[in-house]
Amino acid sequence: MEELILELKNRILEALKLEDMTPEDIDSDAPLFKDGLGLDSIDALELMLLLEKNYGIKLKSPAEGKEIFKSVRTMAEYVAANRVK
Amino acid sequence: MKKVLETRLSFGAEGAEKLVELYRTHVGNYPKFFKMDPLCRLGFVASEMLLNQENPRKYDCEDRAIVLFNRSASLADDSAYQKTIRDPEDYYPSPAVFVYTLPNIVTGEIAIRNKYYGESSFYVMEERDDELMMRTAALAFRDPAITSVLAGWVECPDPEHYEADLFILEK
Amino acid sequence: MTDGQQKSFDFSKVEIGGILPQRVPFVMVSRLVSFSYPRTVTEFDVAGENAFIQDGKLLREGLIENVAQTCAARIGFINKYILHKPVNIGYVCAVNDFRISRSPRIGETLVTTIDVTSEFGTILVVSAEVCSDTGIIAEGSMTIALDESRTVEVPEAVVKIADNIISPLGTTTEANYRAVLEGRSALRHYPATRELPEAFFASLIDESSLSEGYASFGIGNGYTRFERRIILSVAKALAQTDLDPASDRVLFVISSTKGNVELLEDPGEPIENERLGVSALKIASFFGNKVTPLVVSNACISGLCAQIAAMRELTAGNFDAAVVTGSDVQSRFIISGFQSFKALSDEACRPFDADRKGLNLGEAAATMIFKRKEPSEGDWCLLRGAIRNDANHISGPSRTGEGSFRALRAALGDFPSDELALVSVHGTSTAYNDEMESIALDRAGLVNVPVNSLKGYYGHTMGAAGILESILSMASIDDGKVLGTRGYSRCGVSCPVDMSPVPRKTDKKAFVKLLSGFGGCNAAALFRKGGER
Repeated sequence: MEELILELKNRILEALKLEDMTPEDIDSDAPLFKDGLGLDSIDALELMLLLEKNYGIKLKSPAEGKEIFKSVRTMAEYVAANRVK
Repeated sequence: MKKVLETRLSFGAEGAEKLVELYRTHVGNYPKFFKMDPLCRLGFVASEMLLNQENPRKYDCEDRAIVLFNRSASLADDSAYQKTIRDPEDYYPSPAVFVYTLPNIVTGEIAIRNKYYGESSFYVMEERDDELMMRTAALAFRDPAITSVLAGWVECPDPEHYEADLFILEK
Repeated sequence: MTDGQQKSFDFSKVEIGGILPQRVPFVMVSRLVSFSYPRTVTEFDVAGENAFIQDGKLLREGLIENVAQTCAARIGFINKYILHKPVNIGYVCAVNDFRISRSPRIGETLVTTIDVTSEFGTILVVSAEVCSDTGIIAEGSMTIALDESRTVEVPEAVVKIADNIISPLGTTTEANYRAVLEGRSALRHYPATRELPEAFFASLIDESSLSEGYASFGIGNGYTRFERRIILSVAKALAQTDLDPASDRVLFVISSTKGNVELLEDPGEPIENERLGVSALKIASFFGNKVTPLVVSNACISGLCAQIAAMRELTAGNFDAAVVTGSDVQSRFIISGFQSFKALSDEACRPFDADRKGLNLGEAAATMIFKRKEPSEGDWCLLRGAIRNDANHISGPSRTGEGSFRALRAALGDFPSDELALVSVHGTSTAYNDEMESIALDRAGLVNVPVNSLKGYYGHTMGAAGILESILSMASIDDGKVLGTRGYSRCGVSCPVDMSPVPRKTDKKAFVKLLSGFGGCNAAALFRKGGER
């Protein structure tokens, strides 16, 4: 799981262009939205694209993503359970 | 009507790096910069260098218009977006790239940064014509609420060519 | 104006009321006889109802006023006929010395000649001579200071003289209006393909339905879909006027969000063909127009911005007429992009409705031709327009409807909202846009004005939207109606609005068009039928 979490952190930094950050700066359990990294609606859509592109997981709408994108850990758990790739 | 401030940036292939450097030197605390496409990075940095000359710098107002011009609209980002959909077998349309496929987004980035609620407009011209640019930008003054215009040329057809000439016009 | 032009100019056609602010009985000049920069000559018929008459004679004050108004007529002429600017003169004058040998009587015609001895900006020093048939009756010199802040109330407005809509519902405004009145729409399902693996709902033009039109106007194969649809729409609108589109007093204003972006699909296509400026030049050139066209690319509000830009150019006197036209062509580029935003609905859109799921994309080309003229009763005038930014987010609308509200407030000014037949909103049917607009309407005090969205008939036509939707609003008010909002049944926004799925009657003569776009921009424009306040 830790390997997947690190992999996800790197992918998130790249996909969301969080230039001045490293994986160490992201707390695996901290909220990604609201305070946390201050992500917005477009970031949420990019995260959905990230899941599809790298893990073959297709979400239908941002609403579905709400629980999944709570933190990096919840994302990793969802990916581990649902990945097709 | 008079031009009160000006700034000029012109780069070739070194532009991408130069803009990051200029961002770190003149701005620094605005991570949204890294989400921007090359055209918006150019316009944003140029506007920051322009507005940093203003003393006191204007924030949160409805009386400043942003009127920008270029030749290639959002071509740099259009090409980047096209790459994400080109191959039907590797088809991943990116919303973060698509959002920048409109030339006026750069006016939006400047408005957000400075809380400018006034007019924001974008015009395209095939041949750069500074006199026509000035005259068109000055049309914003026909809105009685507008007392100054942040105007100019912001052209970035691809990540190897950058040209910005921004100025503030006052009524 | 060259010396030659001055010599051959027919001054008898200059209407003195158009170059002077004074009105009877204070008018002290009857006609302009001749003009040159140093010397101007006027005539004045001394008549009984004039304000400066006493005991059958013109007072000294009247003669001084006659000279001052001759100076004003000179500047008024320069502004109106040479600079094509609004006529703006009030003035004060100082009499340096002015000797009157005889007071003229009622019935005499005075010929006044002024020679400008020096001019500094708005200050003129003139030597003047007033003659009657008996010879010189007054002479002297004066300093006149012009007050450019006071403008003459020239009763001209920016008037729409022709329009056209090209869409899947028809190729004339009338055909489109009838279709919309009957509740028809070309919105339909497009199934998934290899190129676009997600199905979508849209209203797209069947290109073959336009081939007859292209042939009849000689629009050949050298144009892209985007260009030829606009050319056809402009040609059909021009055919309703006697305007010469090649005149350098006519400006083309072109509105589009993505122009020829579909050309990016073909890597062999030269990159300049994709540029909007190139398309614009080709379009203007088809009509023989050599003036650099104004090309507006301001996201989905472009169609209104183009009209506002045209209005400003016309009121500034830079041009006498403007051809405002806009279009967008749906392509893999645009459709996939909106799909990546998960912004599209998989069914016909439902503006402002509780069950709305997103927007539909649409195609159209629309044109309005504006002229600066004195409006007659049936003429549509663009009175005011404003563009404002949310300063919040580059794609999501402001939760407080900031830019939308400010644009409405600026465009309405002190126009009474109970004289509005309608506010035609953007109403794209996304969760956020419609909610935001209802908040803006509420903040602007417009909740009691009938509201509609036309996206349920056409989908979102992007660069054409501002023009198409304004034209249909005008057509409906001409017909005494407010069009229904197709797809609306149950209010799904937090500020209740007066919206209906079916057409309603109205006897009011004005409306507001409202739009929002990516980049946080918003535009509102106020239109009124007829010239009377």
